[in-house]
Amino acid sequence: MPHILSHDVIDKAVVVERNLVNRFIARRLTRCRVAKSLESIDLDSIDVGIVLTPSASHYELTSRLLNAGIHCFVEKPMSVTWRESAELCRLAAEKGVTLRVGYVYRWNPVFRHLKGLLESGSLGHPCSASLAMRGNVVGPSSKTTWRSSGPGSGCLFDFGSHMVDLAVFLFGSFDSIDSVKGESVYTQGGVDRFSARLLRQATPPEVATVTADWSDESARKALVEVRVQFDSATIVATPQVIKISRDGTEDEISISDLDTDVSFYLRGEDFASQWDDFFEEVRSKHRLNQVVSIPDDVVDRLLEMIDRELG
Amino acid sequence: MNVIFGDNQFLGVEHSGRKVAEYVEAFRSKQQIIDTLRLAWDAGLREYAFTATPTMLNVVRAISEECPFILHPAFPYAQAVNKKLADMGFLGAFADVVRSSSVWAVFGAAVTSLRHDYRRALDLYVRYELRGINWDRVSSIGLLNVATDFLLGLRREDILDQFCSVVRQQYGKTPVLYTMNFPRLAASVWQEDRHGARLIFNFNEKGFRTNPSLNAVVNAVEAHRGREIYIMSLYSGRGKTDPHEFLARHPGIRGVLFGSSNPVRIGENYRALASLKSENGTQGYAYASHR
Repeated sequence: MPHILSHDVIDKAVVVERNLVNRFIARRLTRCRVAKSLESIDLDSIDVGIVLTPSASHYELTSRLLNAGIHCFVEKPMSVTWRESAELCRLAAEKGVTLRVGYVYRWNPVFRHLKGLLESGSLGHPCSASLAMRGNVVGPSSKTTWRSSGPGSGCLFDFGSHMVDLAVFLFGSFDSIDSVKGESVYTQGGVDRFSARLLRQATPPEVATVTADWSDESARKALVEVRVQFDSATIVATPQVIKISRDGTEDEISISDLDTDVSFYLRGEDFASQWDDFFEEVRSKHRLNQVVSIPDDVVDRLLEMIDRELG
Repeated sequence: MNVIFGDNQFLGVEHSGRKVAEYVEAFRSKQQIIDTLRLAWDAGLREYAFTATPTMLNVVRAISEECPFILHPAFPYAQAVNKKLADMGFLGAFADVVRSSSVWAVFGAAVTSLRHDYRRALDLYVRYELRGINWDRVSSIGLLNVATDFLLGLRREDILDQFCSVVRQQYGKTPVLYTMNFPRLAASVWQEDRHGARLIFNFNEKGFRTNPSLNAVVNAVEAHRGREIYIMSLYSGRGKTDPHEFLARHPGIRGVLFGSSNPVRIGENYRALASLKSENGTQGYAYASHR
């Protein structure tokens, strides 16, 4: 919320929260108007809707806002099924409003630089890639919450979906998957770590392997690593640094070498960049009636395929 | 120029990303931290700013006789907050703080909080985070940027003002606010500056994490000359900024926080800046880099 409320484009905000205690906290902390449900708000007075609720509610809330002609930001995953996500994309296009999904690693300066490197072709065509994310979201004493139980939850949707999206962001769309593996560590009936290969039809086939483990107690915070193999070079990238190895030498590009200016910084540039860009597009759309960006449903299609294989 | 030794290296924090693994490995144990603090003391450093984790509070207690640093604790430790919120939820985390206080203190804090006066609650929180500290050695009490900027973003500068009020009036210490949004915070806090708050932020010539822009930060430093402006020294990328030249161009800076894992560099950099004077005439100590 600080990233949103700090933005100078915000004139007034309403927090919608079903839980009584959370409504009390929101009222005390934010001084915003706080409502119990969308029904108690006049949607005609709203320009932007931000959906930060459990995944299972994303489709219902986002579709209501889009139908009212409201620009939307929805936390990841867009919805819990491919069909619902495709419908949201279609609805946004029909209404001519912005729809964004909160895959925040797209806004990390290092990964954006990596994308530029890949698109330049200066290292050639990648042979293979791997994207790995580790964290200690669940542990031996973790309680069951909406993040670990229910539709659109678990390591795949709530955590590892970042890696599927990052693979699509960096390398483009993929057609199919294989070699899906999953393992339960602490979550009964759920998957706490998984891996899958994303495939694109080409000659030779292009492959990105994604792995995610949200039960790694050694990880102080979420750790992400992207490895890209070329014919004569290797790239290893984290959110802080890119290391390029070729011909026996190693080059490094650190986040401190890149442009990291954001309007309001809190816990990293990524979130702020994401919001800066979203609000700028909404403001431009109002001013210039420009075409808005709408995500496609590629990531959601891949997530559904992996989910089916994980059972 | 006041120079304070910092603890980023002990927490494995290194913003360029190049040395994180090295720091995590080097400072796995309490003894390794103590050894580095001894080196800092021997090099001439006398002030230590740190995140108030249970480990660090134990460390400063352990070396208090041998190396009686002037202490600048700050909180909260972001990773611990995230974990508590994730494991216990907001109410559970809140209950954890409350459990460490007396019933009457909690009752009083709750009543006043309902009237939007959070000073008693903030007092409880300060006591919770700094339990066991030697108050005689404490010179300032800081709120780390994860909390400062959280409240700044929610436009709750009034709570920041109440925090500064508690630290100054209840504890008689200098209130410190760490921030990654210096121009915005400075404009708010120093509009009246009722509590002599010190602001600490990133400042480097390359503009790494100087938000919203290097120009805006430079202008804000100039606009608030005379205030308690302290910077965290960071080398942004390759190359080295000459500290004399850097500080000469920004005479409004009163103090520098730095951290280093290299014992030789701690001493070298201390001596390099011993002759520096800040605008208020304070003799310089040392300035060291993440090298």
